[in-house]
Amino acid sequence: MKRRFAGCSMTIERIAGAIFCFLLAAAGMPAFAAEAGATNGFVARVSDHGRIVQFTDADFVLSAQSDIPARGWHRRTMPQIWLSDEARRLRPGRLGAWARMRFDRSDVDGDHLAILTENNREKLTVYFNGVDVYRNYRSEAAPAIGWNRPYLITVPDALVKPGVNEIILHTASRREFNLGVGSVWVGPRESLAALHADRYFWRISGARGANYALIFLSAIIFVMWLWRRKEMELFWLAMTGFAWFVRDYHFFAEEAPFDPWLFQQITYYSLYPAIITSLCFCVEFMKPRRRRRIIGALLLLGLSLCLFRLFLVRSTATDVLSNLMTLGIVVAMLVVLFAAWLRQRTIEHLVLIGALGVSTAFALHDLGRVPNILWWDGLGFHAQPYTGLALFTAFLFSIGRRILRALDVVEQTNVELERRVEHATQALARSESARRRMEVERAIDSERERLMREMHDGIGSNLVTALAVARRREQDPDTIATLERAISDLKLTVDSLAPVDGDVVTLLANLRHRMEPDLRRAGIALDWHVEPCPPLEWLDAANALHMLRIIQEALSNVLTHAGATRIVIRLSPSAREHVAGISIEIADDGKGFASEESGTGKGIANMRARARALGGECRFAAPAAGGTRVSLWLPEHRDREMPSVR
Amino acid sequence: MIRIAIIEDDPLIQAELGAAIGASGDCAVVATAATHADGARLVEGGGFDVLVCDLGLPDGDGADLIRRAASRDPDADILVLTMFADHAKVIEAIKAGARGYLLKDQRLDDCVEAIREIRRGGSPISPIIARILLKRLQPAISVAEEEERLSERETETLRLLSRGFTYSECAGIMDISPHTVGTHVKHIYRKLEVRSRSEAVYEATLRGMLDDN
Repeated sequence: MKRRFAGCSMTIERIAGAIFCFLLAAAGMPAFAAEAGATNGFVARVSDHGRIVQFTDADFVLSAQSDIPARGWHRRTMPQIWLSDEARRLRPGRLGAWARMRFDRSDVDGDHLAILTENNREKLTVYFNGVDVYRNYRSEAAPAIGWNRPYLITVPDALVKPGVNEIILHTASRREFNLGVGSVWVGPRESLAALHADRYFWRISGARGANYALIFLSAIIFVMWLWRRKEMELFWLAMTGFAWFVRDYHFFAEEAPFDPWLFQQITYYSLYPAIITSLCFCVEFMKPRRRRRIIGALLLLGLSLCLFRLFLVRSTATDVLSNLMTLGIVVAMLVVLFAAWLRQRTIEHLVLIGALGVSTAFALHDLGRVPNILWWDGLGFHAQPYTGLALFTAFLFSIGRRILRALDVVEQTNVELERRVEHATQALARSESARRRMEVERAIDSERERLMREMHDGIGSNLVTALAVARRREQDPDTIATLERAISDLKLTVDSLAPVDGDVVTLLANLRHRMEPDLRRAGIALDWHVEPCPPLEWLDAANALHMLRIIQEALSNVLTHAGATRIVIRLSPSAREHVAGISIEIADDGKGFASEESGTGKGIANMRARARALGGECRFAAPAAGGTRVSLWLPEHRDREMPSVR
Repeated sequence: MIRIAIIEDDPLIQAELGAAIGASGDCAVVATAATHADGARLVEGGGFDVLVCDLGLPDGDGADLIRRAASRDPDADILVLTMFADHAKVIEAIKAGARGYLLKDQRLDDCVEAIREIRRGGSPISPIIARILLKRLQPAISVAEEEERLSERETETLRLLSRGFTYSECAGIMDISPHTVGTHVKHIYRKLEVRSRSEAVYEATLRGMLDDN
């Protein structure tokens, strides 16, 4: 880790150095240009362990010969990272280049020297003062890949002379590959080792780590896709990872894993599948309209890019045209995805767009520092080996977020389902109890019907016949009155069974209706004052009969004993001791309480007892104005514990 | 002269009622029957203005005779003869086509007066029956025909009657004549009959549809 941080800071230093160097080169005047012929030009930089020298020119011979050339050296600026075209023109066969750099020992600090070199294509041999000190290949036949790898070469102290020393680089490659001589530094071992470590991390070990992580994750994702084939995002994600791994392998490989030429071709062409699969993933993930068509079009484009390169470019190098076309596709896709994001603004989509944007920037950066293009040196290493992992990570993040969100939805759905089940269970319980209540009510109704039939066909019928007989035979009025009372008592019972839902007003009204002919015959006027009253839910048939009997008793007393001419009946809501209830008042203008016969005493006691049984109260008063006032108070609600009176 | 037919199985009641009507001067009994079979013939024969009919006949249901009489001659008034004027029996009779009721223990002069009243176009009603009709007819089904729906005046009449006001008290409150109150009640009875008939048709249709399946 520590080394990596050091590497970072050194990278920044390097960028600054590179820019500086670029400016100097543009100005065309090397800072410490040594005298021509004796030593070569260089720029020096002071590190922690002393001065480091980087050569700005060298003497070249373009030849594939295996020994150090004796003559033909000509000076060129350094580095010369793209000599392929020139070398091929010069002569047939293998490509080769020799570069010679001389420096004065006094220009370089450090007790022990080292050489750092990078961007050499492809096989590299380094000589110090004529002695072969380094080779990056195992044998002449071994296919080394040297272009991206920085090499740190320790110079044996015995070889170092005071005064002028000489470094010679020899690069060689097969004709179908490329030739170049890269940058060369010489300086204290410690400083160059640190510089090398930094370069090596960003170019090789970082890239390797990133890509092995990528292929590992892709394999996992691919297995996940095998489990759930309809998740095409997973498929495209795995494909993205695989394709980028293939594309990036050459960045950190030391040797071609199989035939070098085939490996090179695969490396070039794999860029298109990598980009196309990445875009396919984005389309699959963001699901814009007509995404199948877009994916089809992308695959077709990828294929045509490959064909374009195969037939039109025919190059072993990176060409600007097909790369810019590829970039154009990516930018077009960015527009499509941005439009999709406008419709569905989620972080996942934004992350995807961001990842694609960064990848585009990476691609531009890398394109600019390709040897045969060389617009800039940039970061000093290619960013592309990190593009695959960057895209993959962003994609994985997006998928993960979507999955987590889906889990949330599932959780909420479960909660909602449980709530609904709870709801339905309660509703079922309610309807069940309602059904039971209805059954009970139906049973009560049928029992009522039976009672009524009994009264009609049995007692009622006989009583009516008996009354008719008594009237016809002009029997004793007492007999007739007794029969009439019996019948009216039956009527009271019938009324108490009526389904009036505890409506006291209607029950009382019906009693009035029944007694109206008697009152009329007795010449008693009736004042009827009823206010709307709340229903008494406890007033079932038995309780209703009690209430009706109390009122009937009161009215009968007036009819038979009071000698009254007027009765006032009032019915109104009335609270008693803060208990809501209703009050029924029957007042007459008759003889009054005091003169009542003893027979009514028992009647009054009965009325009081009935009222108490109902949870109410019956009062009797003799107003100063005369007559009697009976008032019955009944509560609106009654404790459930209180049994219904039978 | 009001022509009256009586269907009642109790000979004593029939005789009493007949005698009272005969003595009234403006009414006459034109036919009597004591069984469902005789009653059916009586209804077929027609020739009466008012039919007084008992529900519980020994060989059949009086409501059936009421239904026949009502469909045969819509101008005839039908009174059901009942022991207690309990809501179940009265409403059943009204659904069949009756327009009023007589109590078997009613004083005979009251009976004759009730017959005269119904001929004048008015029907009696008890508060309990008024309340039940209010509940049953008031929830105006939107699809209900005009002739099945209570008018505002009729609703008001039923509300007052269910709260115990007499016809003349209702008339005073609503500022109409007591006779109009009776007419309202008669119309209400007719609506109950129409609705119960359409409900029966509806139910029969439903049952038919279910049977078809």
